[in-house]
Amino acid sequence: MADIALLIGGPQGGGIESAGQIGVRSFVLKGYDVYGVREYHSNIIGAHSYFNIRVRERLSRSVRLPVDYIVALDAESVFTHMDDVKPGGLFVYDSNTDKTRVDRIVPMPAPLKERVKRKLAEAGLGDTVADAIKYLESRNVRVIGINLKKAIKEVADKSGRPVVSVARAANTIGLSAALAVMGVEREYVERAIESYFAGKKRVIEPNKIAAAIAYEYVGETLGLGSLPDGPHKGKTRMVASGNDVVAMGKIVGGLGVQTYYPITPAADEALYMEGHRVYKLVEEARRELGFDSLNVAVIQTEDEISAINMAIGAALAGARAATTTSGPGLSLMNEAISMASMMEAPVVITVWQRAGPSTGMATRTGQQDLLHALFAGHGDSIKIVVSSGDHEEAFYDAIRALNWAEEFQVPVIHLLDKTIAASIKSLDRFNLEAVRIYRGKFMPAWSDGEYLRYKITEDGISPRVPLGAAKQMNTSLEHTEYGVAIEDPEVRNAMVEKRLRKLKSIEEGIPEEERVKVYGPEKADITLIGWGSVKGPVLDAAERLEAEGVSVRYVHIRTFWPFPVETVKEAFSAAPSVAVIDYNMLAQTSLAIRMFTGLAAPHRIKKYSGRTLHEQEIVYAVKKILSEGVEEVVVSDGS
Amino acid sequence: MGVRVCARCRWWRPHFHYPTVGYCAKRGILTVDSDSCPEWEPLRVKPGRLYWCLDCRRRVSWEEAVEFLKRGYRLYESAYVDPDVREEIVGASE
Repeated sequence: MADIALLIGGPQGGGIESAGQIGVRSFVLKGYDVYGVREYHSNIIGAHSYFNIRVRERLSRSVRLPVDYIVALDAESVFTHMDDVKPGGLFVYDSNTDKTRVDRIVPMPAPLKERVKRKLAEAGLGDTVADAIKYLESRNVRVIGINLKKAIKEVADKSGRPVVSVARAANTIGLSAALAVMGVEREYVERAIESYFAGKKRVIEPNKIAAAIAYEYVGETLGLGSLPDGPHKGKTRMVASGNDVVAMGKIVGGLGVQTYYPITPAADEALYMEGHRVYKLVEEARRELGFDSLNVAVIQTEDEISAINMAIGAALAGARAATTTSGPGLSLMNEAISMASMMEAPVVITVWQRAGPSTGMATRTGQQDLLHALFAGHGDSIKIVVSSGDHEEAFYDAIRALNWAEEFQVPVIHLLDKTIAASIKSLDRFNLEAVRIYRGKFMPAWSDGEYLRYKITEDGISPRVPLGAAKQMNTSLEHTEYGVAIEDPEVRNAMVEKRLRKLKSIEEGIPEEERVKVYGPEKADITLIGWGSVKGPVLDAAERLEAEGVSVRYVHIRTFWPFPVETVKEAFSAAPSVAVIDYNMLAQTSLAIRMFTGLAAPHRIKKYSGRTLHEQEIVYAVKKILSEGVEEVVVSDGS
Repeated sequence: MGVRVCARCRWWRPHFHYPTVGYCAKRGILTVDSDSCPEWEPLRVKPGRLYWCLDCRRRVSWEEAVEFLKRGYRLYESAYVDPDVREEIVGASE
């Protein structure tokens, strides 16, 4: 069974993005299931970035270290990743950097330089790239040193035109050399180049020449490898990021208005939507509606406060409305979330978590906004909190969130994180037949006498019509059924109890099976509880542990409000050992579980370095818990 | 590498990310650092201008440039950035 891990490192803006995308596409075209995560610096240009890709026949869903192949496009990447490749693996680098000393690399963090120098000194080596290469060779890593500047010049000579995009030529040469050794035929790389740079002839041709030069070089030196085709060869599949699929889900889910203020890692969702905001309707819808296409209004506002308030306004006007942001934006939206709760305005807030506090590390990951989301909005603010663990879940959750917002007339916070945002995955087409759009008690018009926006009902949910369809008042103040501000204690109690009944309706309307998914055997050596992007690494680690004789059960929480109390309680009582994955410092998942169930997990696996969680970290932590019984294991792999 | 090479020429703009390759502003082509040609001219620092210090990876003032040249740093009138660099940069905002 194929299981290939590849890492491409280089300077931010230096072609890492297109190398990663071409790498992923090459393997997808060859028929493999592919998952790749980009890890990048918040400095816009020049700082170290890398793309970690995992290739399997089926279910590629996490990355691992050490990898089998590394392409280091600059000296910093050589030093940063010299311990990230397996013995027997392959390391491709630019031989022009041989004499570069670690201290001469300006953007490289000083503590990392010290660690590298110490490691090389311990091996009796100096501090140049050539020394790092000797270090790699001493670890039985195969090395290909490519003279990148000579190769780039050759690309220019062969293409008969000046190379204007140096970075892309460089990355294609490095990536192609690694793919040639792996046994991916050049044809797939060329098709991937054509696919990724579609319509850009002046980029496609030089990059195909660059690939050819690399394949020729490998053919003459190490020799071309051989890899059988994967099981998906010939199938029509998608390659999309987490940002992309959430935008797709919202469009399919009937979104009318999306607002945003640019923020990492949320902005790419809105940008994808801007690029696809006009969409054609299927024949049945054309006949029904009388026009060929619809569009989503995607509006960039002046800040996050405006973004959510505009989305609330759109919801009151009858559109399905959402906004997208990350932690700092969620902070600014808090007051309006409370207002949406009071106004009973259906709005979806997509939150792409990143590493905080404050602006923290804008392009790094984690699950640090769980408690923030649960308690967003002051004053008994009712909401739903849903989280997605992978691209498929994210697509359908984007639709579920829009449905629930309208069905229960509450704000819905959809929690995701940077790992999902920045990961590229091969996907089968989504099952659109399974998609249902609910609008709850929304009616486009009102003809039933006096309209009461906040009519007291048994389920706590009132009929809703758009602004203009009936005389109505929507207010952030406590109000009567009509919407008139009032502070009378009896009316207040009636309204609070109405909203409380709505909470009960949410509890009843979202069954346990939609709140949680359990993987693995009922009786396992250890039960892990987690949510969001930890799903992939946990399931992959479970497979690896199973092969070593350790059984793992995984309880994957899908909604936090309402919480899957029964399943989580059962998980605690059934397992000999329970560990919660806390992708944050404060053990927020453990705290939430304790709040909802009263149960404290005996073990925690924590990560707060801001880097993507890897399969091997879970394997290590589980073994440590089972063998030593430690309460907490902190993992920190990834550069 | 000799003295009269692109890497030491006033017309050369080293690539921001891969500085063994660069752009010759005189001839309008990409060359590598070890190339040479009859148009070669040494860099002379002019008051009031900004320069690109390859060793510091930043723009420096002309006063700094004078000092850095004495220290042997690699200085140029500017760096070359690929025209499509934006497409290689993932959004990082706020």
